[in-house]
Amino acid sequence: MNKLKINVDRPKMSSKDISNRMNFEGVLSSHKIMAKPFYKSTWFFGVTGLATVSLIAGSMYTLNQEGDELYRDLEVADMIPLIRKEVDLTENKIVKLNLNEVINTEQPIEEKTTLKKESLKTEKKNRDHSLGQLSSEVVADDIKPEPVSKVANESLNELPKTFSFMDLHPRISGKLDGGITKGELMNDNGIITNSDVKIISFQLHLVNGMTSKVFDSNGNKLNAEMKLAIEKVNVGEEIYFEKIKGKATTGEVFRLSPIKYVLLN
Amino acid sequence: MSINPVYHLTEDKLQKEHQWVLQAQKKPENFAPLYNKYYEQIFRYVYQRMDNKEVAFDVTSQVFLKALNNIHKYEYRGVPFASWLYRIAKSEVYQSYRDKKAKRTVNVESFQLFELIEDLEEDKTNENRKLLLSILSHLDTVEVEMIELRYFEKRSFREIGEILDLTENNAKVKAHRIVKKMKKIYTKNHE
Repeated sequence: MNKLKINVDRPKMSSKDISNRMNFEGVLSSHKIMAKPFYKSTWFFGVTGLATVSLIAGSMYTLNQEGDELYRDLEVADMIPLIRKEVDLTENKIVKLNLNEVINTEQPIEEKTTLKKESLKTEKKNRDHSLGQLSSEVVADDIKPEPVSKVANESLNELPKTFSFMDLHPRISGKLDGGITKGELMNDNGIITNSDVKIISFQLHLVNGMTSKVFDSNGNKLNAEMKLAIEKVNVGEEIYFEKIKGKATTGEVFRLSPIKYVLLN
Repeated sequence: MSINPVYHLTEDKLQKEHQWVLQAQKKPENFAPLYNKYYEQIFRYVYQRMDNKEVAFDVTSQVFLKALNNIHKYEYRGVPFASWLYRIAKSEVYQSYRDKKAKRTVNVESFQLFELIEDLEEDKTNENRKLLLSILSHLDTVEVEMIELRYFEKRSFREIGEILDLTENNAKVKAHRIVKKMKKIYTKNHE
């Protein structure tokens, strides 16, 4: 079977005939029709890709910043009890609110400065030392309270009457949680609060390996049995103080939040 | 053997042509000089391998359209732009055979056949002419292409190499082997 068709001496075409059929405009218009639309071009993919990546990166950066701000706020909130811990204990007196007393918020409190005998003596001393010092004292007796609005009175009535606004979190050696040494744990102060609420009882839960023991104490200090058990607890184990009961100066008893420590030595 | 003067260019002309290509890569409208220069060459190449004139014009247009669509991919390798166009044309011609389920066509002049008979060291008789046509029709596609390019279109081995994507030497060796094969067939027929 012949694979080819062979034409011998076929009439030749002249250059003129060929050039008459030239149509560059036709080729160009076909090319324009077949040309890629802009959304299929490389630069479009490049720009779109770059914009998407930038958008994602920007969003992630913004979210991270918001997260950092929140974290900073939480850190500040966590620091508040620590700051308060450092405040002199003398300032941690319960502020009793005598709801019968009416505070004048509309008029400024008048201040009156009087020189006491002691102040005069001090002044004399100071004069000797070429240091002038005056003590001032607010004379509250002279303030005549005037009634405030009912709304203010109502909000005050809602506040608890029995304990102070100070820190009621129980703690040992000033630690609220986290790692604690045996020395700190067994100090003589026992469990205290940064208020005049006194701890009257608590429960100690000791976990040592796979076993756990529970001890009860009436008071705020660890008893001998507890101390003995703590001595045997391994480093890294957790110690729980639960069912911590506190008593306010008014005699009211209430339960405080539990504490958890990790033994450091 | 004569050399195709349109294909073989001096270095200056090659550089000038390359500048046209660069311009065409920037703007399709700048492809016009290349189209005007090579249209006839490419048409003749296509028509040489086709039976139908209109199909040959269509295929030629298709060749230039493909070249224009892919001009951004063209890389200058120190050879005329025509070699790239010929490669596209070769591919389009074979595509056309497949699409139209047509036979491969060879268009040849009688004097070209006698020249080939002479090269085969045979007598220029009508009997040998008929035998040559019979031999040609039984060669495979690559072999026919080589005979066409070398003996009917009078192209240099360098040009053949660039069109068929071969080295000049490789093109020479292949052409020599085909001629040897044809001689063998002639000898067998004479015995």
